[in-house]
Amino acid sequence: MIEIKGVSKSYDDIKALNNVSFEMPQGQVFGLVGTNGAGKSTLLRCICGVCRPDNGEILIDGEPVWENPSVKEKIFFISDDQYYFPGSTPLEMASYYRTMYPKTFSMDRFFHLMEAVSLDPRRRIQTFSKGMKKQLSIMLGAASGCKYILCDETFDGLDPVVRQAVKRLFIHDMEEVGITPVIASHNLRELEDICEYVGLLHKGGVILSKDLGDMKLGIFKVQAVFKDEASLETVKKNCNVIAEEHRGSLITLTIRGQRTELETIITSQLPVFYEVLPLTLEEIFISETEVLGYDFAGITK
Amino acid sequence: MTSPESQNKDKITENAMAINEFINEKTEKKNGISMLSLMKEDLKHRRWMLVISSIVQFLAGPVIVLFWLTTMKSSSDYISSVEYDAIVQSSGHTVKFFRSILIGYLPLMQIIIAVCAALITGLGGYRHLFNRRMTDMVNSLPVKRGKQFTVIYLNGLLMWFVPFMISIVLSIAMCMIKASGWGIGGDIALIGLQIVAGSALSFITCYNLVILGVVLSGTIFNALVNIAFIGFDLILGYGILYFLCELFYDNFLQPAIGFEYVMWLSSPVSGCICAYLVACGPDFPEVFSSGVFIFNLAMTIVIAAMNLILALIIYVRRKSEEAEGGVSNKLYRFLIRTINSIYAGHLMVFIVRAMIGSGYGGTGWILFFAVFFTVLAYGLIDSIHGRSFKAFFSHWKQMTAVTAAMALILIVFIFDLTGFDNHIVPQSNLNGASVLYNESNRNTSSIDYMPVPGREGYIMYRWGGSELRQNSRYLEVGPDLAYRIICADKKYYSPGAQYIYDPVEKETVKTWRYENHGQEESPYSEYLTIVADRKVGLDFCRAYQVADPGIINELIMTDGFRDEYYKLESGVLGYPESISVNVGGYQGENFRIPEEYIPMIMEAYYSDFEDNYSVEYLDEPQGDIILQLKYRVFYNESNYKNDDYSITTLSVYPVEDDVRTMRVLEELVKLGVIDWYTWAERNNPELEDWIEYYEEYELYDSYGY
Repeated sequence: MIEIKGVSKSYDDIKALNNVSFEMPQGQVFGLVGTNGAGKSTLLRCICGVCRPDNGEILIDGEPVWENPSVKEKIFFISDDQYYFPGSTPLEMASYYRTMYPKTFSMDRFFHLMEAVSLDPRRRIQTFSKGMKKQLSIMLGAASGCKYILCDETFDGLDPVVRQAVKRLFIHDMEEVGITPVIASHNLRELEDICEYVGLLHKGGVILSKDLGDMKLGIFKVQAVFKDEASLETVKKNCNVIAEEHRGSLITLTIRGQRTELETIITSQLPVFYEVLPLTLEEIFISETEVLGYDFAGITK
Repeated sequence: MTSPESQNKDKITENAMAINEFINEKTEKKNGISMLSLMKEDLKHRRWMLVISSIVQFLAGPVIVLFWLTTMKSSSDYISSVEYDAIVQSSGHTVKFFRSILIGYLPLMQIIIAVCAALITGLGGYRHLFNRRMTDMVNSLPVKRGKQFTVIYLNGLLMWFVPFMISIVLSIAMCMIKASGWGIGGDIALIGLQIVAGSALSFITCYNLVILGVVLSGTIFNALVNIAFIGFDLILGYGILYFLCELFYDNFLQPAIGFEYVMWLSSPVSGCICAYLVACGPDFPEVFSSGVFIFNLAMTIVIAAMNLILALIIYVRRKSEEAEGGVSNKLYRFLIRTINSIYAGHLMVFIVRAMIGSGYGGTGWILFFAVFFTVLAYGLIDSIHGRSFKAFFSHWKQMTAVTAAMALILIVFIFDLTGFDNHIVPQSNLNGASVLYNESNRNTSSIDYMPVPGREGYIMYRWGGSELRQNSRYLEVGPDLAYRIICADKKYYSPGAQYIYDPVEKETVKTWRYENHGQEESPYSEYLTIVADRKVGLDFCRAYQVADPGIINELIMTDGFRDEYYKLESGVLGYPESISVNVGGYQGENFRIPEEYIPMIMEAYYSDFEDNYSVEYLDEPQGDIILQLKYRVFYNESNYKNDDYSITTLSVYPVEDDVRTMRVLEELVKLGVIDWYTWAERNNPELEDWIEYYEEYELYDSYGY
């Protein structure tokens, strides 16, 4: 398990992380989502020991990660723009990582994966496209045998087929080998398919960190047509409404709470029509950040 | 009852825990990656450095040495055929010749290669510090930073050392094979060992400095600036201070701390000097065995070690985000831009002064350029560190303060606010002084000679720096004369014999003199170097310009002056190797005197000198007879054990009263050694007188007239 305890990190005057605390449970795909500049990459770089937090600590399986090779050998970091040695081939990079992860790196698996995605291990990486380089970094990470695979914007630049293949690969490894992929991304629809646990970052702080299923069970979108304004006001008064939208008589409410409770409240007002819908991860994200004023409402004014 | 979904989840968790235990078990068995495998991996990605190092070493070592050894007979530039024969015949000469190849070429070349290799391997080895993506990759790996540092350091060392050792072993082996049978294998092997030690020293001192410069910065450019700053700024500061004194202080001669001490503060300079001395140890026996050298060598090694330790500490503590950035340490950034901008301002002072020339004035321009370039340098350095021109005025308050400080320093020197030139030591505080007469006006050479025991010839001393005080040619004077010399200097600037204390007034007088009268109109004066021995306070060495002929004559006519300055008087120089006589001055004709007449001429000249010594002896020749005494002089005092010598000419000018010398020369005219026509021409411009002269000496017959 990855435990993040009160971590803060600043770059000169810019506060990238501000007292962040949450846990990433083991054996699940953890999605790290956040607004631009929320500190996702910084957090990943702190988790893998690239950056040292100014305050707080990060524990991996109970041990601090900073300058601790025995912990770092459980982590493989795939950055958003992975570095490859100039003029090197995938095979040479695999050889390099095999030296760095001598206990877990599998060349057989590497070849197998490279063959699966039709990448030539002996071709110079500099001739690869951006997407192929991304694929290579994922294949290296998968072949590393590390318990924690930290992916920073990894799905960006991958074609849909490869994205699905990578998702299948992560799920397979998670089930068979017990890896814990941590995926930071803006593409919430992609994450929704694969993540079981999600952490939401905004302006260097954590908004929430929950099991995605639980998260979806605690927030709903209600589309309803009420008889009168008083009914709507009653619903709003008794429910934790975090967003509201009117389209003629159709009212869309984003409500936090248990489904049965809010259905009871809505039906008690005898609406003309109502429907309770689960929120997508993207909708949850937008709702949660809107609450914090991250809506750019003034952009069209 | 549990659902199938949660059962599946439990199964996954169990699997994960089992794998985790397995990994932990393996981790305990073997913790970490071996240093050797890391070095091999690092080497794979720096093969190009090894290739370059090998090629350079191969060319500079075995190829060049083999080229010399196989072509030395035909290489007339290096060795004459006579010398070659001597080399072949004499093992002593052979050793000397090999030493000239080994000591003259290999150490210097290897030190140059070591310095370049240190720069390339240092910058290339830690290149990830200039690339954020690479830093992320390297720092995410399960290797401690200290270990990363060590691996890169050792690889850099080996990349230079292995090709170097192969090169040097091959070069030495070839020399030993060539010299086989001459019994000098031990000598050559020893030279090889010394070259290894010297080159290693120069590489390590420079390599450690480069690494320190690299770990302090996030770009190559900043790294180079750091290397220059840490390596040379103390020396540069010393140089600037020296030239400021030289430029603005009339009495300044040399600083209290000589450059020979300051240069040891620069790690690369001291490293290379020590390396050369170590490599050429037997050629500098006095230096090599002296306590001072051992101390400096130890200091050089200590500074190199400190640079390495500091670099390691900074590397381990360095933030990953510093890659591709400028210099992150705020204090260090402040120091760099402050010191270097002050230097830049002062360097402009010298450039502007050089453009103005030797005339006076232009103080306003000097100040303008100095201030302008200080601001420019400060802003540029800030921009480089901040990696944006927007940072030019980001520390404008500091910039203003630093510029003001620079201007203040300059004003202190220009207007002599410390009173350096105007200071007159009270006579009551003087024990006396050592005085050195102006070298440029003397008709003896500016070097000292000492006979080599048991050899024909002299050792030539060139002295300077801290040796000045010990030089025997200093004339010791009492406090009264010392005080009068110091005061006389002040009188030079004031026709009214009043001391000028005010720097502005002094400058005005000097400017007025220059503009209205030029140099010719200035009163006759001599430069005297004084090392004043004060009762209270340290001795100080100053140069004074004395325009008082009374003081100058008083100095010249003292016994001490004649004895110490004019070694001819006491016959110290003995007989020269050969003598040429110039008749009609330097433009006249030159006659070589046969060896048998040398004692006769010298004895006559010594006698005349003893009887007629006067102030005139110190002036340029008024007459037209010049005796050119040619001495065999060994190259330097530490090298006189070798046979390397040169012929140095010492010109003396007999004055009219030197009748004994003139008489001998006339005898030589009679003997036909000196052309009677030329001789007669100088004394008797009328032709009739010449003929009479010829008849008198009955020279017609001997010349066939």
